Parts: sequence; C-alpha cells; structure tokens
Amino acid sequence: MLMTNIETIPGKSIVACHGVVSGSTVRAKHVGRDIMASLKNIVGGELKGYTELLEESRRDAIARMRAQAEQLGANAIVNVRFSTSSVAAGAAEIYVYGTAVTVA
Amino acid sequence: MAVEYRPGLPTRNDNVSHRHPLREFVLLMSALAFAAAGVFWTLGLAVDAAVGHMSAGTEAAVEDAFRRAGPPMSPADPVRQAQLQRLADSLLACARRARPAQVDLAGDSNPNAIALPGGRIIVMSGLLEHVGSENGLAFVLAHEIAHLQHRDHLRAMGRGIVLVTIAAMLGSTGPDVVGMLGPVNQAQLLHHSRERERAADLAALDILACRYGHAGGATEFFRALQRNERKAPARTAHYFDSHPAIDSRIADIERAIRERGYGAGPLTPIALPAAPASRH
Amino acid sequence: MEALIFWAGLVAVGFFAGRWNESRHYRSIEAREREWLQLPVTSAKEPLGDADAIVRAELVSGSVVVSVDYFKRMLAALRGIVGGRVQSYETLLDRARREATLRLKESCRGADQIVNLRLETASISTGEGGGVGSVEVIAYATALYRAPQRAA
Repeated sequence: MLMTNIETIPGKSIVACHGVVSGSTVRAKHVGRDIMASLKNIVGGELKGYTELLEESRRDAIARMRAQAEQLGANAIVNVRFSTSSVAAGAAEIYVYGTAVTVA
Repeated sequence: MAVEYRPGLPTRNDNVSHRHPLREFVLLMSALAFAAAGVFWTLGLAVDAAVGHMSAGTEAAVEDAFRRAGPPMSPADPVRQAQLQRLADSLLACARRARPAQVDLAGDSNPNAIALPGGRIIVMSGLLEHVGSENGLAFVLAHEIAHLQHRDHLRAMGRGIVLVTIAAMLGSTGPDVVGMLGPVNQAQLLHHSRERERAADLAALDILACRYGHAGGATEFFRALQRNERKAPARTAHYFDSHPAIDSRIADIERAIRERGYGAGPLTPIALPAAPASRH
Repeated sequence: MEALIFWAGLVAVGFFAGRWNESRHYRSIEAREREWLQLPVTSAKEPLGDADAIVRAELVSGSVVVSVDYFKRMLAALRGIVGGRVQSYETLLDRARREATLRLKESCRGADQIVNLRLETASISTGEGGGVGSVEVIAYATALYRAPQRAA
C-alpha cells in the first residue's frame, strides 16, 4: 500500500478515488513508564519509553488505515495527515487519515 | 483527466477493538487487585522484619519522640489512676519489659483502653465498670502492655505508610482508581490488625498466669462486653472492624487456657473506694 | 462499604446506559453514511474531475461533543496503570469523528464534492484531576458546487 502526504503518487496516475479512510489508536502508558519519566525530569534526556509508545501507536494507526483502504479496494493513500490529542489521563490518541485511491 | 469516484463503506470497523468491555474490565480489575494485594503483603513482611530487628535503642528514640508529642492529660481521678499505675507496674516483670508504661485514666464512658506510641496506656473510666476483679483489670492492662512489647503501633504505622504509597502510585492516573482498589488494601490492613489483637490476647494470658499463678478472670472483660452487646448491639458494633469478634476472642482465650494448662483460681477483688456516681 | 456499593452502581448504570446509547448512535451513523455515500469527500486539495465547472466554493464544518460514561472512564483509569490500548475510548472517538463528518455533509446539501477535509479533536475536562468529561471533534472542509445541469 503506497502512502504519501502530497496530492499524488509521483510516477503514477490516480484512476479512481474511494473517499477518506482513517485509522486511530488510543494508548495509555503504564506506571513503570510514568516513574521513569519522573526520574528523567530530574536528569533530562530522551524518554525512550514514551518514544517507543508513540511509535507503536503510529504503526498501529497506519495499519488500521491501510486495512480500511484495502476493504474499499484501493491500492494507495494520498494526502495523509496525522493528528494527536490527549483524551484521558495518561493516554493519547493518534489519528491518521487520508484519501484512498486506485493508482495505475 | 477525470478521476472516477468509486463509493464504498467498509464492512468491518477496524478502528475499534471487538473484545467485550466487561471481559476487559473483569480481567484488569482482578489483575490490579491481585497486584495491589501482593505488593502490600510483601512490603508488610518487610515492615515486620524491620520492626522485629529494630534495636531497643532505636525503639526508645522513637518512643521518646512520640511521648513528647502526646497530649498531656490531667487525671480524672488521681487515686484510681495511681492504683492502675501500680497494677501495671506489677505486670512489668512477667511481661519482661524494662521501661514502665505510663497509665492515664480518662473520663470517658466507652469501655476501652488504648496503647499509644511512646509507652502510654490510656484507660477509659467506662472500662472500670465492666471488670469485677483485679485479675480482669490486670488482663486488660497486660493486653495493652503486650501491644507495646510487640511494637504493634510501629507495625501499623509502617503498613499505613505502605498503604498511602500504593494509593499515591495508583492515584497518579486519576482519582477513580484509588476508590476501586483502596478497599483491597484496607481489608488487608484490618486483617493484620485483628491478627495483632489475637497475639496480644494470648500474650496477656501468659502475663496474667505468670503474675497470679492462674488464669482466672482472663475473659471477665470480654464477657461483660458480650452482655452489653446483647442488650444494645449497635453501641459496640464499631469495635469489631479492627478487632476480632468478641465471641471468637473468648473462644481463643479459653482454648489457649486449656492448651497451656492454666487453671482457674480465686479472684482478687479491686480494693478501692466506691466509684464516684456520675463521671460521664 | 457504602461507597463501594455506590461506585458499583454508577459503573453498572454507565455500562448499560452507555452501551445502549452507543449502539443507537452507531445505527444512526451507519444509516446516514449509506444515505450520503454519493457525495465524494477527499482530504486532497484538488477536485475530482473538471475544475473549470466549479462555480462556488464554501468552507463548511460539522462538530460534535460526545460525553464519556462512567464505565468507560473506569476502564480508561485501569488502563492508565497497566498500559496498552484503551478500547473504551476507541468507540467514543470513532463515533465522534463519523458524526462530525456526517454533520459536515448534512450542512451542504446540493454540493458536488467536498475537498480538503480536516479533523481536529479536543478533550474537554471536567476539572477533576485527569478525568475527561467529553470529547469534541470538529471537521471542516471546502464544499464545491458545479453549475446546475440543464436538460438538453
């Protein structure tokens, strides 16, 4: 499944458009990561636990969007955009959406 | 170049999980309750180890700190308080306790006695109406002295700190979780408290038997409370959460009397002027 | 003990009422999505088809605020300790987004297509430390209108 966040897939032409598809996950961090983060607040540095968490969420959300596009019969997604928000204490939502198209 | 629009709707919603929420709820709750209970139990063992191995010097320092912080009390009845103090002092040798406990008599109609950190025992005057002999009174004082000897207040404080720490860690995610899982740890705390009460009862029995040569009068106070309970159950109900039920306490003491081979014997009456009529 | 029973009651009410509300909302969403399927929506900037035939472009939006029920909030709090996917909020956000998009479509009946769809999510807190009361989603896009076809 090809994905870009520009209007087209370079080198290919869009034949059909299937509408907007999206994928989202809401993930929470556990207390272990919270405690590590508090310690890092003192010494500074990258919060590897949180970085991993966000990467997992991102992969998960993109996978869900891809699955939805496949259900509609598309083979590429253009104009992909991300959006995050915090919806619960200690949990963040990653939401990705784009236009599912068929390219040739 | 025209792009064709091919409308469609996905049949399967991939953006939600299809597990039943109740199953997740039950799983998470039981896992967390189990974990909270496990942490509390393990740290409780650590508290017991620390308290058990605490040197007498450390304990004395802690007790002195509490003694200074305790409330000063003017005696409600100096004569009876002095007699209570003499009775408590006479039990020290059998309790194998070096530091004397300071006994204060409070003018309160509740039949209760408390051991405070700092080596203080407060006896409510209501309790004196529920004992008929010196032996019965000595058992109550011996029970409180046993608490001091076992360092039960330090154990309770240590476990209290553990409870608050666990609550703080859980509470960092929001106010709801503490309400859910708090009762688990509180139930453990109360269970521990009941166990310590039983241990103090049995130690008091040994002190009584050592002092008087027999175990007569050991259950006098509890039987009086039992009669009270039958007359007005609600009044003494509050006593039961952190303490074992009266009936089971009496049963445990009587079983211990049989097992340890203590006999009954003559009860020494309390040699005192009659109690003043209305103190409460 | 009474506090525990009260809490269990709240959770039960939240669970049953929440599930009923949610299934009702999903039925409504699915019916309206089928109804509005013929109106193309893209997140791209370029319109499908001939750009010259477009006579009017208009900014349209749709928004919705959906509330959390007590059972969902409990589950999210438990997940906050253990970590992992908060499945109780996933359905909430899914509903809110689809509802916002539908309201956007419903606000421009007669449009030919909708381009450059964007969605923003915000959480509105009740004020208690960390507890979320509701989720707001706003969807906005440009609606394009062609000249009406005249019968030849």
